[in-house]
Order: sequence, then C-alpha cells, then structure tokens
Amino acid sequence: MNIVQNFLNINPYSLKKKDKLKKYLNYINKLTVHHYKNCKIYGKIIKNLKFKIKKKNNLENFPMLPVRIFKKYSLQSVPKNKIIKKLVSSGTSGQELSKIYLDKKNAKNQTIVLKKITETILGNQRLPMLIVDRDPKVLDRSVFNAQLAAIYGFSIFGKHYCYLLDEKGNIDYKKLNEFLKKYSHDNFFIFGFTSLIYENLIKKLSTKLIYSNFQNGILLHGGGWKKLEKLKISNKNFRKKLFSKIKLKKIHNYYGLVEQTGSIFIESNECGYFHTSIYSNILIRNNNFEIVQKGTKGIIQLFSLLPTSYPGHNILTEDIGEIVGEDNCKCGKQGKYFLVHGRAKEAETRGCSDVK
Amino acid sequence: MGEQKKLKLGGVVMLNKNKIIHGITKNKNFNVKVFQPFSELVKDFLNDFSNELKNQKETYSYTNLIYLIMWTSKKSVKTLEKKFKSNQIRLGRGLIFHICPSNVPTNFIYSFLFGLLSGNSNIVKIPSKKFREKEIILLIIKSLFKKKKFFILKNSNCFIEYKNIIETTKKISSICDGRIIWGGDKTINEIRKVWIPERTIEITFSDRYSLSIININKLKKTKSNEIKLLANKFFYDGYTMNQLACNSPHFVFWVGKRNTNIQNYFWSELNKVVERKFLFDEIHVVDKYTNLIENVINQKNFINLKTFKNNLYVIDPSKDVKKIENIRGVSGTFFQKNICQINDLKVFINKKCQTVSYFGFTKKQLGLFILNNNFLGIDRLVPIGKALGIDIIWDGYEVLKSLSRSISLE
Repeated sequence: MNIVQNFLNINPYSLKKKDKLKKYLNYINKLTVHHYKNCKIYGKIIKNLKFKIKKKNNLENFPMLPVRIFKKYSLQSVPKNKIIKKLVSSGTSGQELSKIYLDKKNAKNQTIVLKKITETILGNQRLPMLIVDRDPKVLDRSVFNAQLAAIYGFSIFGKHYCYLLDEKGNIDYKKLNEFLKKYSHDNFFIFGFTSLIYENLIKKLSTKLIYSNFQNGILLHGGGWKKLEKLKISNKNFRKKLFSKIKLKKIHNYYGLVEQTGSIFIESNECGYFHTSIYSNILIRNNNFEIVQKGTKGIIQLFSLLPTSYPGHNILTEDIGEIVGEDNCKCGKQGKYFLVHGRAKEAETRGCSDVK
Repeated sequence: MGEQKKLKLGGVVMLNKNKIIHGITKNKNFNVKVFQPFSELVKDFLNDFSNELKNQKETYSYTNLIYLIMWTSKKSVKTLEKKFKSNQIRLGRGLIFHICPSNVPTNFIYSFLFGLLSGNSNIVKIPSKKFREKEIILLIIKSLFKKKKFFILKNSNCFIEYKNIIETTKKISSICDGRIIWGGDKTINEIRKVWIPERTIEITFSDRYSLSIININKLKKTKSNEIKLLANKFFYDGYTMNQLACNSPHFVFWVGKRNTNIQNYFWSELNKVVERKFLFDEIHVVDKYTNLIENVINQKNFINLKTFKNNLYVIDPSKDVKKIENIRGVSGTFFQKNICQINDLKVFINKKCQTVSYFGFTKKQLGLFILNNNFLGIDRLVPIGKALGIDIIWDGYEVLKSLSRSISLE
C-alpha cells in the first residue's frame, strides 16, 4: 500500500471537498486498518475504545491518538529491523520528547510530500539558502532533534547554504554579506525557527551592516513558537516588522507536528491562513470532542496520509485553532484554511506530588 | 511576611541560628518561640483568621476557602482540641520547616496551622504557582500579624517562596526542629538527603492512593433524591482537585450483589452534576483523554468503557485487575469493580492506600474490617463527600502530638 503515490501527479491544493473526501476517507480507513494490524499498542487502543474497524466510518469517528502518547511510548507499525531513522521532537529541556520511527518508505514519502508542498512557494528550482541558525556541523550531533531535522529536511530545497549564526550564536555579517552580494539580486530562500527569526532578523540585525535588503527573499519559518508566545508578538506584527526593516515580503509560517513530518501546513502569503493539502486534513473539536463549525475555536485534530511505519495518521494535538473556511480562500488554494491560536494553556495541575 | 518572594539567601553565613533566621525572614526580630498546644493566643488567631476570611466576598468563589473558614472556626477548633486531648504537659518542639507542594493551593495553610496549633514557630515554603486562594490567605495573615496582640506570632512565623531549592532547603533544614515534607516519592527522597540536626523530627506526607466503597443493598433502598445528593458529594471528592489529590478516589468498589441498573443510575446522576457544575478547560480534556489512552496501553484489556461525553469516563478494568494503586484517572475517570462483601477488598489494600470513602456502611462494620485484617494501608475511612477534608490525624500520624514535646512530670 503506497497511498502517497496516488496523489503525486496533482497539485497539493487542487482538490475540492467533494473530490477529496471520499478518497481521503478511504485512505484513512486503510491506514487505520494497517496500523491496527501491525502496531500492537495501536490495535489495543482501537479495541478498547470499541471502534468498529469494519464499519463505514466518518472521518470524525476514527479514534485519534493524543500527541503526548508519542512521548511515553515507542509506537511502530513495521518490524524493528526495518527502521532506518528516528525523529525526536524539539522541546524544552526536561520535557519528554516524541520519538518517531521511520522505515525507508515512510522517510521517502515524507521527503516527496514535503517537496510537493514546498514547491508551491519556492518553485521547483533549488534556491540559494540562508539558514537562520548555527551550522549543525558545529553542534552536538548526538541529538537529532526536530530543529536539526527541519534544517536538513528543508535544505534539499536550497543550495549555496549560508548559516547566519556563528558558533556562539551571533550574526556572522561577513558570511551574510558574501551571501547577499552573490545571491540577493534574485530569489533566495530563508529558513529558520520562528523565535530565531524574531531574535535575529527583527531584533539583532543591524541594517547598517548589511550589503542589501531582503526584498528577493522567501522566508519559511515555523516551530519554536512556545518561546515566541512569551514575547506576545502577533503574526501580523511579525510580518510588518520584517517588511519595514529588511523589505521582506514573502513570508510563510509553517505549522505541523513532528509526528506528521512532511504533510506540513504552509501559511499563504496572500491570505495569511494555513491550508490543508491533499495529504492532510484538520478538524476542530470542542471540550466534549464534538466537531465545531468554522469560526469557532477548539482543539486541533490533524490527519496525515504519510505515517505508515508508526500510527501517526490521526492525532489530537494540544493546540487551539479555528477553521476559517473551505475551498473558497481568496488565495485560490482548495482545501480548508485555518488559524492556530497557540497551545492550550497549562492547567493548574492540582496535586500533592510536585514540589517546586 | 506574605510579600517576601524569591529570597536571596546567598549572603547568609551559617554561624548561628538567629543570624540565619534573620537572613531567611528579613525580620530582625524573628525568634523561635514555643507554646502549649492550643494556646489561647493561637486559638484567638485562628478565630480572627476565620472571621476575616468569612468577611471577604471573594472567598465564596473557592470551595476550598469556604472549607477553610469552617476548619478555622471557633467551633471546629474546639472539636480539634477535644480530639487532641492530652493529659501530659506538652510544648511545641521549636521551629518547624514546612515544605509544601507547589501545585496545591491551600495545603500550605493546613501544614502551617498544624505547626501553630501544636505550639511551634514556623517557616513555610509556599507554592510557587500563582493561586488566588494563596494570595487571599497570605493577605489576611499579613493583616493579622499587624495587630499588636499577634506580634509574637509575627516574629516567630514566616512564609517564603524560593527557587533555589536545595541550597535554601539545606539552610533552613540545618536549624529546624521539625521538618514536614509534602510531595511525591521522588521529591521526598531528594529532600530527605538534606541533613537535619540529630534531634529534629521529620514527617513525610508522600504520594498515596484513595478509593471509594458503596454498599449496593443500601443504595437500592435509597430514595432517588438522596442518590442525587450522594452523587453531589462524590463529585466534590472526585472533581474538585481534578483527581490529583492523594485523597481523591480513583476506584469505586460496589459491594454486594451486582446491580447494573443502580450502578449506572449513580453514574448518570454524577454525570448530571458534572454537566451542571464543572467547567472543563481544553487542557483538562486533553489530559483526560491522554490519561485514558495511557490506561488502555498500561492495563490489560478493559471489560467495558462507558463515556458520558468528556464529563465522565467509567471503566470496568480486566477481571484480574491488581495493583490498583497504579491505576489512576484524572478529571473524572473512575474504575469500578463489583465485590461480594467488604472483606473481598482486602487484596487491593496495601501501604499506598490512604483514604477509603464509603456509603452505606456502619462505623462498626468498617472498624471490624480494619481490625480483622491487620492492614498496612488505609489511614482514613470517611463518608463519601469528606474525602478531601483534612484532619489533625493525617496519614496515620497524630500530627499535633508528633509536632509537640511530651514532658514527664512525676
């Protein structure tokens, strides 16, 4: 079964609801059966939740896995010896990290789909790439975390890589200016974690010291927004500041789970919303897990057709979001478009077992 | 006192007791004083505290503060004193260091009151999390300490909040005469490594497990409005602390001949109460669902799982369920099991078991059950609805007696 193959020849944002849903449902069903049969833990969950796997089900009825489960348990749907790569989520120190196990097929599909989606903003040529981070080569390689995975993952869309930060995390103006001198006359690709973009491009960068502005840049940023939440800067403001400071116009936030690497959601520059692709889907649930209509905030549930070596195709996140509409976005993309409002607030865990 | 936060203790030299205390309290007049248990001064203080709390409008938005009003009232303190009854001469031990959990809003005040009622001076580490209840309590204490009649108490008690856990803990531990630690097993073990003087006593209130028992025969004969009332009481025990307190129930044992109708009736009544009274945050339901899935993974297959939306999950675990102390719900997830008679409960009782809340049993029945079985666990048996109450006898300790010195006079 290789579902992704079936979707390869069409534009990721080309299907309307009526064309997508039936196929999508069929694929989610297939994936559910696949993981039910091949992942012991997943099978047990399905059984105990009394989910009727043989019945015709609606998308919203399929049992979702809470995202935290991937932190506590190793979930695999292929034999151990088929695993070639382990992804680990980024996370603040002290927290448990998600562990995602990939076999060759799953890893390949991630790359293929990521490319299909990213092409829609970068085009199908590799672009000179400015990475707003330190060179992973100078970092401790023993941790292959999501930050590194993201850099490596996205670097296949670039060339002539330039890392903005030196070993100490300061802006390396010499390297930056060399890069700008050579490549800023044409499109170039800028990639980084949102918080690092904020810290470096918005805050620290001195415009007096740079060779040119960034008006030909295409920025893709995401993740690490826990830090950014603390700074309380709105997305709108973030964009405004980047434009007024370095004339950067093409700015795309991306959203996704390490558990669903590949089928990410990219914010469209024209409308400012995240869009589902043919590989993904989203539902918003209220506190009783009932589906809420567009315009209502709730807990985000995400689907992806990619996970085959681990049961990550249907996940209840801990993020709050709202669907704005479907198939009628002014940017022209088909599919659902939505906003992410951040993480569900940490509850006042009340208990006797925590002295801090 | 109350406003002291994040104290920097770096400059304190450990030369003599008073110097350290001054460093800790920022109160040059701080001095360790001891009193008789239930001294008039302390009783007066509690009474004033209760009245002040009663006068604050805001109090009434917090169930645990309403409970605190009652706990500190003149009448209740009188009952406690009667319960305490000691024929010996007793005095406080000296300085008690209370290490209270960061995530329970009112626990620290009870720990403090234990120290105070038993006649001691106290340094109380208060929760670092922001709780409105905590602020209300500390503001009242601060205002009471300003009164002339309580100036001795002002100079012998202090509340601190600090980050540098080990260093500060070491300093205070080295001068205290009693240390009370509330916390999970890991925390307790960590703090226990910190030295205390030879004669210093230590009481640890560690992680415990609690359950409920319901007599089916009695419930069958109970009028429906009383079952409603019981559901209300159970709601209070089970939901007030999101099932995270040691005394919140996780398991309900139905004692007697199985009666699915009456059991389901009870759960549906509980569901109605939850629907009416409990407000779930998103993170509550995410936590609750995650906990459910973890229970599925960790346990053998369930016999049944009944969900009342996200209000209430009721689980029949596998028939041969054991080690129930590791089976826990959050925010309204309960496990149930039918047993024929109360004695069948004994295989589930071990050291971890703290509170058994009950319905439909006489004290005599329960007393016999305890005495006939020589358990290592169960420290409390209380009617359903009182599980979250706190008593001067706690986790099997007569806390006030442990915190005071008994003096022989022949």
